Amino acid sequence: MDNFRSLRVMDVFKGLFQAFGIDYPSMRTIVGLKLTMDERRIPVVFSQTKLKEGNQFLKSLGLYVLYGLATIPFLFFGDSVMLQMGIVFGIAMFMIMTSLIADFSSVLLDVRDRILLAAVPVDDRTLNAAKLVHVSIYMTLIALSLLGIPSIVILVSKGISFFLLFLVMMIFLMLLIIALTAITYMVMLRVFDGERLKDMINYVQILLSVGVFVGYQVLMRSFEFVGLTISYEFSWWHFLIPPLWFAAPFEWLLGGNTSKPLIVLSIAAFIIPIFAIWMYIRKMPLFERDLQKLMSETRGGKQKHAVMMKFWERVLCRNSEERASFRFSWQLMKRERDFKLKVYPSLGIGFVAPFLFLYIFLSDGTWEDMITSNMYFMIYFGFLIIGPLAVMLSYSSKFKGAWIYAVAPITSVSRVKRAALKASLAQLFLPVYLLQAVIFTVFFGWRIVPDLVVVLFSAVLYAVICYAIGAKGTFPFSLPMGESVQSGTAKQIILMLLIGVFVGVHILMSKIPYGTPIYLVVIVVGCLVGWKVLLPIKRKTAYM
Amino acid sequence: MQTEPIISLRDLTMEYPGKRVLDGISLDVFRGQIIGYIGPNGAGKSTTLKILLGLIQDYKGTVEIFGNDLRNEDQDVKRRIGYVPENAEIYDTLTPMEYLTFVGELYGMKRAAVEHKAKQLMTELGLEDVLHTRISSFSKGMKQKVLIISSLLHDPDILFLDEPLSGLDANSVMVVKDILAMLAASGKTIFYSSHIMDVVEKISNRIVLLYNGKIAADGSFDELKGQGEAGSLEMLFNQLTGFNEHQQTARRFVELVTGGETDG
Repeated sequence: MDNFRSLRVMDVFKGLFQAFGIDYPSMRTIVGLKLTMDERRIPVVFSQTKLKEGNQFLKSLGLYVLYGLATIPFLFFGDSVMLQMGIVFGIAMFMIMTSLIADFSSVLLDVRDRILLAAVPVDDRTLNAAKLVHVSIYMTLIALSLLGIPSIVILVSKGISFFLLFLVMMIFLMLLIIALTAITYMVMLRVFDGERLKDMINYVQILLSVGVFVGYQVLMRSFEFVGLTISYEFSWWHFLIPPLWFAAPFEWLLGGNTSKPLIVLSIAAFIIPIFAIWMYIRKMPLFERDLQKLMSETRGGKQKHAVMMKFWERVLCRNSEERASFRFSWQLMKRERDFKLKVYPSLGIGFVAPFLFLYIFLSDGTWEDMITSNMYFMIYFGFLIIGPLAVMLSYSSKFKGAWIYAVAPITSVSRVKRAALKASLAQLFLPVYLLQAVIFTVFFGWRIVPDLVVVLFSAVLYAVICYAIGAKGTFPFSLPMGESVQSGTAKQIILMLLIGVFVGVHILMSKIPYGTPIYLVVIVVGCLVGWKVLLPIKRKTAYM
Repeated sequence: MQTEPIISLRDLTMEYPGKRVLDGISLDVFRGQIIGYIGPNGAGKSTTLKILLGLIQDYKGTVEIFGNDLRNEDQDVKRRIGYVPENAEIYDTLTPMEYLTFVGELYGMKRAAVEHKAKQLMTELGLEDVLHTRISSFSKGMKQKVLIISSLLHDPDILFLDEPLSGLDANSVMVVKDILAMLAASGKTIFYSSHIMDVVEKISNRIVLLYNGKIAADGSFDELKGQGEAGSLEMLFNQLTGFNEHQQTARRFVELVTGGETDG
């Protein structure tokens, strides 16, 4: 437990901690223990890949190095130091803050501390310091991997004084991020109850995944603007954008621009982080007290009128067993956070991707070209939702509850599975698809409607194939969530290639006369046959 | 009065790789009995329950419930069984109402009927104001109550319970004990495993003790008492499982805690 380099670095500041009245040996033990536990945790950025031994966080740092490399072009973007640094600090702030929320919410919001350590003779101040140090260690590591290479580039290209100022500003930026995140949690804890707060964190985690995908695509696009000369002009709303505060000292001290707003922005970069962290330390006991909410049991709550669920249940299900399973699956998917965390990012990507590729097409061609072309086949990118969805359907963080399937007198296993798959499509894929289809119809005109119908039935066929490959004969929600990462990647690639087959056949058929109507018939029949063959309804013969 | 057995085990053997958990168990259970199934940790109690429920299938020997061999997998048999698992395993992101309607419907009940019954049963156990709250925020005792309700919704003839009283407060324990007694009196058969000897002693009318994969004792508490000189089920348990050094173990433990400063 003692072999953490970060702990030895911390030892350097031993005197400082003790000056604040902190029991240093206890704090060191607590932080060491937490680092040990972290070796058994997987960060969100890594959730799509394999589960391995060791501190997954440290391995995920490689990703941050890559993101960091992407910031280098911005250092030479245009002529304005203010804009260059504003963008770099903006990216750094987004990456660090989202990863702090996504991966370290569990640290900031850890209530086990209270239960396990409250009985031990360690005072609150030490406990809180341990928490702060623990988070800071990781923040420093993220910041180093993200900005290590860019800062060397800065040192080489912009000189030593620029480099030193950059380091100082980074430290202040990190102080601000920690305090801002913690204060955000404090406010959320005041306003929401525990369950709602966990939901909010969940959405931030999902936003992070989508943000990285979209941000990457947009970044690639924006390389085209490099070379444009933009000079910085101040507007009052720049006070609301923290990255610009941190960029201002560069313009002021190194660029020699002594306009008043710039000096005010620069001062904000120093004062506000310090004020925020002081607020955080002062309000910490209050925060800890509110944390208890996360453990408390909430009473009350109303029965939800799930209109969509009731509608689809009536349309899609035939008997009561199927209806029961449909409702059950629908409700579980709505509630289970781990499921959302794995599925919703692909939901966002599946929605954005078709439009992103249209946008890329538009940067080369004209609008008229696009709407008369067959670019509407881009809607197939929406299928990216189905693969992860159908595969994840077999997993649950509460998989042990699956005994109910074996104990209950279920007449047809397939009916339960069909219900789960139908529920997942109706709840998550269909709304996205319908919205995309409407927008595409507006773009491309009525001529594409038959094709859109073909796409819909292809999706239903594709879904059952994905499910058959993913579920391996198990009941829905009956496998441990952690296992899902182990078998994922290869399977997902195969499923993605399968989308290509659907697109290819469809495009070929659209080229021959009457191809589309013929293909529509083929795909509808294929759908019926696919569901019959892959999820056959017969008397139950096997349990699990 | 005891005619056909409701549950009948013949030479039930179960092996995991390298370990024989059940070693030729034969047992007949009759209508209206409350079987207290006890034994040390790892004796095979939960395994037996899981076999009876059809959760484990690669056993040797025969198991019959209502005269049906379990291997025939008759769904009508399952419809007459209720089960409360150990450790309160449940899809706890749902609310009790959502979970209970799901379970009830799987057992072939009409939705409106399940909802009505679930609501009434929840109210009786003091849970009426959490009907629509996520189970994940419940204490263990509350979860246990939901599971007990879910096992009884469809009015089963046999009830399998694995540590059914864990986490319940003293008052709830009394209620559940009386519920079990009344269910048995009305002709239901209850088969339950537990570690809490006092409770087993009080509510079981037949005790089966499992030790090293074999039945070490079988009979009412009074009958078992007659076999040895033990005064309580706890002592009988110690005697039958060959564990008589609890005092020595305790003394060594305390000496280690206090650094050997006990006086004896």
